[in-house]
Amino acid sequence: MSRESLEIAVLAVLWGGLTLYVLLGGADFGGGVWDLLASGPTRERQRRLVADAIAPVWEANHVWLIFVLVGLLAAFPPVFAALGVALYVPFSLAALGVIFRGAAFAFRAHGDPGSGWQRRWTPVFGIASLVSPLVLGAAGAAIASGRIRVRGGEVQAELIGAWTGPLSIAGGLLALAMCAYLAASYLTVEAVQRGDDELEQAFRNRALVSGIIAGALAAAGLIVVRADAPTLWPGMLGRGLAFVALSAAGGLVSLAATYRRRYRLARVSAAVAVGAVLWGWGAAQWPYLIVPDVSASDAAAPASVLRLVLLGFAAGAVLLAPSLYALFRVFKTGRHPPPTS
Amino acid sequence: MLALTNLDAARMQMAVSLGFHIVFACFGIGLPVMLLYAEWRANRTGDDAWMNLARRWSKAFGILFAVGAVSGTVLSLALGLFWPGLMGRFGAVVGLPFALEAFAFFIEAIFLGIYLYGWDRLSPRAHWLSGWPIAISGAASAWFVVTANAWMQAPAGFTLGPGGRPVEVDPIAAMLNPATPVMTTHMMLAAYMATGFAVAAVYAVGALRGGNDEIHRRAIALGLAIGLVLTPVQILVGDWAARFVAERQPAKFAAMEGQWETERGAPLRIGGIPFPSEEETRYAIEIPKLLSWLGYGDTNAIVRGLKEWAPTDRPNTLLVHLSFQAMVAIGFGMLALGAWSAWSLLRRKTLPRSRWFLRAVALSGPAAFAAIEAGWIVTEVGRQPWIVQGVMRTAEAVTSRSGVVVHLTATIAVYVFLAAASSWLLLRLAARERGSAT
Repeated sequence: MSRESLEIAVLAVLWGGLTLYVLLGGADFGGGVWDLLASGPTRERQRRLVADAIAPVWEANHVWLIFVLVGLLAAFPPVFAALGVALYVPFSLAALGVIFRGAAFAFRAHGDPGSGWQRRWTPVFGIASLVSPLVLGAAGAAIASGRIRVRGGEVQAELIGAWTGPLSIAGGLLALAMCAYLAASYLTVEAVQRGDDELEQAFRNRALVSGIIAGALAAAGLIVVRADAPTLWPGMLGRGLAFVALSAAGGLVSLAATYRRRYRLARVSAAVAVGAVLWGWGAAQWPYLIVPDVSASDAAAPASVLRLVLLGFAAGAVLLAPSLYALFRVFKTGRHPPPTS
Repeated sequence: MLALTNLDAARMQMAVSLGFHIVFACFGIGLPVMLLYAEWRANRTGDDAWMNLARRWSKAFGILFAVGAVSGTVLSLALGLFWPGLMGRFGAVVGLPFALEAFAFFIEAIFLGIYLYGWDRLSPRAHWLSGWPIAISGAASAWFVVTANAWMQAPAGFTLGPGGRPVEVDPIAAMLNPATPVMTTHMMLAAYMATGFAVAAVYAVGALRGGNDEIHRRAIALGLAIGLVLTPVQILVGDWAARFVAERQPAKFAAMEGQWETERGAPLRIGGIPFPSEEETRYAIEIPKLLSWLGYGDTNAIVRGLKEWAPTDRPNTLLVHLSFQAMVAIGFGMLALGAWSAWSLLRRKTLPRSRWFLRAVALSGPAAFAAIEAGWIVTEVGRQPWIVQGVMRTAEAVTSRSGVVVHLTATIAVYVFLAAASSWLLLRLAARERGSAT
């Protein structure tokens, strides 16, 4: 493979990893948001559904984040280093969110049902689930916004200002809304599998509301891109346009399907809508990894290293694919009763 | 604490994060093996006591793995947050094992989910089999991660080009650097030992409190079997590690041994306190010529002393020497515990039953983890002032962001809190199981 196609191949795998992190790990964060917002007479049942849905899969789902980070480290080391400096604060906050989300979830699950211990960890789990997508979304948007400059190897980025511009605010809110929307779509399916009409209704409503909010934020995000990220805008109209259209179509199909109670279709199309946002962003900022100073070819490791990394990805995928299949088959096909413990 | 420089704060930050993570990571490596054994015995014999143990450990594993997973994720961020200089320049050389480790971690997390939540969904055989990938990938992730650290001790797989940039990069050679065999072996053995001793210690405490039933005896026997059988092996591997350090990192070796003068036929110091300002080590028991022999296989070999290096190029000798002494002392204490057990097994075909033995076992768990922490202090502090031995100084690698001390303070607070919460939860779990078992 030529050097450029190697770079593209590694990036595509990493971007795929990021997409899976959002579609799977993001939905776990969204589950935490719905846990935080649980209300009404079925409040405890909502939390139960969220917990049962997340429990067997969240640890595997969040490895996608590690995968993306270490993949970036191995294949595009200067980008990894520059982002560590530029996004020092949001990455630290995300780390805090990751720690408290995971720990609170595990701690709560092992406490006595209804105990004060469980009640105290519940808001921790919810708030950490809310903070993580917000700051990660803001950090992602900062990369595209042009507020991180890298000149002659020196990273120039304001400690706070770099990731709190208009695009970052839009990105953070959109990430949060997408997570909530994905979670609600998935949870509706789980409620149906459980035969719980009340929960189905509750999460159907949540999917509709959060889907409309996410769609509105995505549309508003485009306006912000135009105003706040002039480098990104032409890319959004060019290479990104097909993904923008795909995302819009996916979102509309998903809302219609949710409305008509065709939840499996809604789940798939919601994932398409969210995934297309990520790919639209990636396509729009190509060939830059950090807009506007660092391109993929500036930052890529030597071709021999990229080749090895790809080989490693391929070997890993051979083990990973059947394992993931087994995990989701055991817990997500509705063939088995929900876990009792 | 606010007087810390950014470099010191970043180093302490890393020390706290890694020191916290490794406790949970060790359980991630060791516990699956014990689970596999207990569940295998239970399935084969239909024995309730073994099944009881497997179920309990599975719950504890769920808590330990979760904390290990999140603290490990944070470390992958920390590499970039605190050491962008290292990662930016050498990421292409040393990034591969991290990428491969991600896959091992995937497999671990996936099968952990299946194992923990699959007790009632899978057949006993399928459930038992789902534990194997956890054990294998736990060991694999440890191996990959330690190769990256080994590379920092014995860098390989590149040549230095203009401006200190690596050229002719060969990530495989970097991964298989000269320190990899000894360091991965030493660490993986330590993880199995520490888990074994920790499990035995928990049940020894239970036995001391009057819960001395079949379940306790089996857990103690299994934990000790793993820990004590591996102890002599680990001591030999430790000797291998020391000879490696003597060869490749002589300043670290001198700090470990409190050796200030370069001398022929250097003595081995047992105990003692190095005084960096006076450049001497006092109050040690000295065994003539033994250090030369241990380090280089010749009683008259020259051992280089710390005075050969400028004071700024020496590691923190007091900390390295005392940590090294602590680790070795704990190792030999475990050997003594093993001798005690073996003597009783030979004479009475059973482990010692005395309360003093149970007390010693109860101590062995925390001691094993103390030895691991001490060993890593030797490895990492002993490498200073280098982050990559002889190639890059730690000061060159640290972030340009100021205020790392804020991050450090928050990290300490969070980890103390998490350690307290998870300990409380595990103790409660143990107490409740004790209540329901009797």
